[in-house]
Amino acid sequence: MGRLLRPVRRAVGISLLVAGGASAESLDLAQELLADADWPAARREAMRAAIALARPESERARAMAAIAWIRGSYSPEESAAALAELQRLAETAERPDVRGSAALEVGHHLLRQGCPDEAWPWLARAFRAGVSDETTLAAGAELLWLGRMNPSRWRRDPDLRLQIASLRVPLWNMPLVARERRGPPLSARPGLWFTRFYRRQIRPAIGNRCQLRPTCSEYFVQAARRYGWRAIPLLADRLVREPSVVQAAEHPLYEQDRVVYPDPVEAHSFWWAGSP
Amino acid sequence: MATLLVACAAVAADEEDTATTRALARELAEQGDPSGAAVEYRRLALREQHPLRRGGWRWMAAWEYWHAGRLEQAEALLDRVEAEAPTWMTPTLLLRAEIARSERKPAEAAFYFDSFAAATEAADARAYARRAAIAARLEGRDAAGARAALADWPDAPTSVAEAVENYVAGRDKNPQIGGWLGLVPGLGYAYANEYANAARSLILNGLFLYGMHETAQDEQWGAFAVIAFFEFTWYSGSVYGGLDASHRYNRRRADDAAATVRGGAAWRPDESALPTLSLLFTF
Repeated sequence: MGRLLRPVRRAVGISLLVAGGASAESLDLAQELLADADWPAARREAMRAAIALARPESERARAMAAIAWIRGSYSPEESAAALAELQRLAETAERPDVRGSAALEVGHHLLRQGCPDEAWPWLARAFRAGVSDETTLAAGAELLWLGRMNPSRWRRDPDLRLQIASLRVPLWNMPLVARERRGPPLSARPGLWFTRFYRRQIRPAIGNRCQLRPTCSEYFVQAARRYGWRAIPLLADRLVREPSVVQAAEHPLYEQDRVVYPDPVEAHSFWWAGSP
Repeated sequence: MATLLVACAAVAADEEDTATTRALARELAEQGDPSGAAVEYRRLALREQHPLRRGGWRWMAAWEYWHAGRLEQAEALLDRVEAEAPTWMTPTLLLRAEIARSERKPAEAAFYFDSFAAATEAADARAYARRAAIAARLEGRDAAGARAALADWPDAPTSVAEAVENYVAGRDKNPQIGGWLGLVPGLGYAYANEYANAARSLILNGLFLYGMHETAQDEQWGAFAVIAFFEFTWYSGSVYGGLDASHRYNRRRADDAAATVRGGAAWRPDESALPTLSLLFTF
C-alpha cells in the first residue's frame, strides 16, 4: 500500500514545488511593482502570493499587499481598512521584519495624514524592531525630525532619544529628512494653505468636477511646489483654458465612469522651466 | 517511471500555464488594458530561465507600458533588457526612440531613430526610422536638421519632402509679442488664434475691473482688496496666457508637420514569434 502511494506523494510534492515557484514569482513581481509604485497591480500580486503561501511566509506577502493598498487608496474607508490590516500585522506578525515594515508604513501614513503624535509610537516600534538598516534608518530619521519639531516628545521615551542620537550622522543624510527640511518655497505657502482649505471645506460640498488631469487644485499645488508664486498666473491661465481643452478632447483618459483629459504643468512651463 | 510521468505532467502544466498567461496578456492588451498586459508579460519574464527569452518578455512588457503611458516603467524594463539580452539591442533602440518621443525629448528621439536606422538591415525598418527621425526633428522645431536628414535620404517620399517644406515656409508666433499683447486682457490669446480663451479672459478681467471700480466708488476697501487680488490673478494669467498660447501655437504647428511626415507609418512586434522579437512595419 505504501509503495502504491509513493508516486502520489511525490506528485503532491512536485505540485507543491510548482505552486511554491508560482507564488515566489508572484512575490517577486509584487516587489517589482511596489518599487514601480504600481499600487493596484502590486496589491493583486502580493495577495496572490499570500493565498498560495503558508505562515509565516505569507505574512510578508500580506504586508506588501497592505502597503500597496494604503498607498493606492483613494477613499478614507479604503485607507482605514488598509491601516487596520497594517496595524494588525505590526502587532501580531510572527516575522520581525514584517512587524518592522508594517509599523513603519503605519507611521508614514499617519504622518501623511498630519497626525505626528499618533505616528510617533509606530515609528518607535519600527525603529526598535531593528531588523534592517533601511527600516531602522527610515524610522529613526522620521523620529529625529518629529523630535526636533516638538522636543517634548522625547520626554515620553528618553531611551529612544539616546538610541537615535547614536545614529545621528547617517540619519541626517537621509533624503527624506533633507526633503522635509527644505519644504515648499515660502512664496508658495499661502497658496498651498488656500488650496488645503478649498480641498477640505469647499470641494466636498461641490464635488470633484474638474475634467482635466491633474485637477486644477492639484495643478496649482504642483506648480507652487516647483515654481513658487509663478503658480498664480499658471492657474489663472489654466482656468481660462479649461473649457477649450475639454472641447478639443485630445488624448482622452477613462477614469472610472468619466472621461478626463491630461493637461500637465510641464506642457505650459516647458519654454522657461526647461522641462519637456 | 511514475516519477518521470509526474515530472512530465508538471512540465506540461507549466507550459500550459505559460500559454494561458500569454493569451491573457494578449487579451488584456486588446481590451485596452496595456498595464495589465505588461504585468502578465513581466510574470512570463520572471518564469523564464533563458536570458534571451526573458529579455523578449521584458521588452514586450516595456512595449505595453509605453502604450499605457507609464514611460518610466518602460525605460526601467528596457535597461534590464539591455543588460540581460544584448541581442535585442536593435528593437530596444526603436522602443527607446518612441518613448523619448512620448516624453517630448525630440533630440533624444531623433538620436535613437538614427541609431536604429544604422543598426537595422531591413529596408522597411530603415524607411520607418528615417521618416520618424525627420518627424522628431520637426517636433523639436529643428527645421535645418529635418532638411539635412531629408537630404541624406535620396528616395524619400514626396509627401515627406512637401511636409518639411511647408513647415519651413510657415511662420511661428512670436511669444514676446504674445506676452506684450496679453497686457490687454485676452489679446495675447487672440494673437495665437485662441479666440474662445481670449473672450473668457476679457470677460473675467472686465467683470473684476468693474467690481474694483464699484467698490472703490463706494469706498468699500475690504471688498476692493479681495476683488483686486482676484483681478491681479486673472490679469497675470492674461499676460502668461499670451506668452504660453504663442508657444502652444508653435508646438502645435510643429506637431502637425511631424504627423504629416509620419503619415500612416507604424510598427508593432510580431506576437506569434514571441518571445523572439520580430518587428512588423506598415506604411
